[in-house]
Amino acid sequence: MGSMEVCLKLATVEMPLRKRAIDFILGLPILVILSVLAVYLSQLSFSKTWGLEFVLWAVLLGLIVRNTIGVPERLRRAFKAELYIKIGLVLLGAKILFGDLLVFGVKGMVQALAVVLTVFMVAYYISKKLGLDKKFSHVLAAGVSICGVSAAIAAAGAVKGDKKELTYVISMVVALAVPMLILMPIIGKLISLPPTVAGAWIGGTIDTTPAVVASGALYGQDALKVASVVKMSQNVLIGVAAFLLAVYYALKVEKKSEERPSPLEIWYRFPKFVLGFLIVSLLASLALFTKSQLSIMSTVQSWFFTFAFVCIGLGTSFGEFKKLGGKPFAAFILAQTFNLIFTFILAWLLFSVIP
Amino acid sequence: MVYLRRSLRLKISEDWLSVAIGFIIIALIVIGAITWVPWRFV
Repeated sequence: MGSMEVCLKLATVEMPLRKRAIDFILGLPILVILSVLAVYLSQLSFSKTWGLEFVLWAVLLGLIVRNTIGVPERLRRAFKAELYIKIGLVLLGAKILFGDLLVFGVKGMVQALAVVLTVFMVAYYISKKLGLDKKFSHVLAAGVSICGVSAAIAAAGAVKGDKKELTYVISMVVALAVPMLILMPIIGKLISLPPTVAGAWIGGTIDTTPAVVASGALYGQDALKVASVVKMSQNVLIGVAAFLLAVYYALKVEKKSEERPSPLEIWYRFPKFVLGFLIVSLLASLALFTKSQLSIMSTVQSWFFTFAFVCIGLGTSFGEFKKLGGKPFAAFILAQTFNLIFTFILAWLLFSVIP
Repeated sequence: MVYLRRSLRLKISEDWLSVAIGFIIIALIVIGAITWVPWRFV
């Protein structure tokens, strides 16, 4: 979700449902046409020779359209990467056995806890050292360590952060998602990382959920599953982190003990689609679906993922890169580099060394 | 703060919407209303 989309979403609230639905329906054909084109191009012989999969084509076509002819703002209401990826993830539950999910989930949660705690503190330290103020440093640290856009919004809410600073962090998260989603699988393949380790590394490092799924899909189906589970483990922590940050600010920084945040914050910010994913995985593990039903679900899920990948491209404006720079960007890059190395070591230990 | 509260409200509704759409699709597949989807992804 880009900063533009955030503004668009907020404008959306005030708009009548009928108008929003019309905009959505008008924008949908663009998405469908680009998705079909991406899948068609990926099946041509030269794409197969060069390994240009539908994921890459989808992101690339979206990028080309957004940065050349552009799309009218109201039609962008159909470009909901987060929504499509969440629907796809609920359906992906049917492909992952509940037992595997528990193993990946527990390891993913251990990794997520270690990554969030360590990277948050390091990112905060770097930001402070580079001269950013306390609130900005907290929002930036949450964006790098937890889950990009959602975490940055949650942290900004908890510390009552500045809207401009939040928008800037969101711009950095969105702008860096595309290069990372393409480069990480290339690096992983160059050093022959096992798919589970690559998935855990991708899931723990890339900030936005759609980009994690795209990058995992580029590495392969096993990496995609692990990356998705690890990312969802991290998403679950957003509420906890937002609650702890809010408590810290209310009690320590602003010293207003009467404004104690409610633990219900954890539930409010809990990613509800994870519940859908878990239920579908459980139903599939109880063998309630036939082979042909699972095959249809898998195809529908791939289409929703393709829609989301096209939306990643459509949501990335090269103009956003021009805005980046200065101390916040340096802090973000340094913290993200630390995140890449630290998560790599953890992913290797948890998903390769420990059985 | 209104800005942040609205983003949170939108995020929550989008989360539940994704679960609802996912379950409706699965229900349609299980009852046999969807029996074919174009293109097989490899």
